[in-house]
Amino acid sequence: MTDKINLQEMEKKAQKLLNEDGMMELLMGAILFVSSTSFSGTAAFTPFLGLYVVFMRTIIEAYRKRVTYPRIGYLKLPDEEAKDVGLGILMFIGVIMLALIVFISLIYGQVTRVLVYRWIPTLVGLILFGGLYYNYERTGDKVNLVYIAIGLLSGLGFSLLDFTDPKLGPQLHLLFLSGVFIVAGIIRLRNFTKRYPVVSIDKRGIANE
Amino acid sequence: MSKPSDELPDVKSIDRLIHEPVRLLIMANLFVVETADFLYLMNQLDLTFGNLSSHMSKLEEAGYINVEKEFQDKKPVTRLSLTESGRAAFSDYRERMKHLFT
Repeated sequence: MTDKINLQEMEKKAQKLLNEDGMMELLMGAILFVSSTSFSGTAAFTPFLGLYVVFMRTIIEAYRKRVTYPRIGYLKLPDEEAKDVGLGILMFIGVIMLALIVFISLIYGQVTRVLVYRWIPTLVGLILFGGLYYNYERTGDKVNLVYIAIGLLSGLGFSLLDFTDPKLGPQLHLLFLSGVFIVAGIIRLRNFTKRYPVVSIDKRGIANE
Repeated sequence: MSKPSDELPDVKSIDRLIHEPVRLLIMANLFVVETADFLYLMNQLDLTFGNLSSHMSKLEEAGYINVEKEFQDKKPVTRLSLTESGRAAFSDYRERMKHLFT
């Protein structure tokens, strides 16, 4: 029991509860997997990225209706200004890309396609850092910090490794991250379903597990 | 000469409907979300359906909450949200409580 009503903490708790269902990880894993194919030359799955963007809300809602709401109840959080968030993300990515190009030109004295490919994993790690830190601030869920560490360390590691094909580094890095997120998502989903069994309220108003 | 009642703190203006502990927690939980259903509030507040239901009726009568009943996969779902006047009343209550103690 606590002797205070902390509205900020209440909001964070609600955000965290929604985050525990593993959906974010599974969705991230799928997006990173599809992104990795864009470096393979065939890019067979790349059009699916567009579909993700278009159907993102539908996918999230369908997942939550099936998995999340029957367990913890229905919960809709206040919508953040989607335009502001989108603009913030684009600006963040722009700044990171610019910084990376400046970094490459300072270290190597030139910016070539091969060098850009080499440092894409670090760029991906930094982009993930931005998104996941934002999520950590909103939810207080420390698992985001673990993902940030994995993203940054693996990004730097893959950038420092030498690959015969320059596209192989970013591709393998995205596949690695995709695997990490999908496994994490499955584990979180399993823990979520164990922790919160399906509850139904019958006609008498009695909750049944 | 001032009357003794002039020196008393203005506690009478506190909204008694919100002041009740369970209703205060219901209002606080609904204040931080846009919409929530019965199951969510029952879980968060550790209340029974009947208990929550009776408090909900009082808050709905006062026009503080909006109750929407619908069927989802043939199951009844009750979704609750604060009305504009509910939000205003809760914010006002918070301000009054802040100023009440020095």
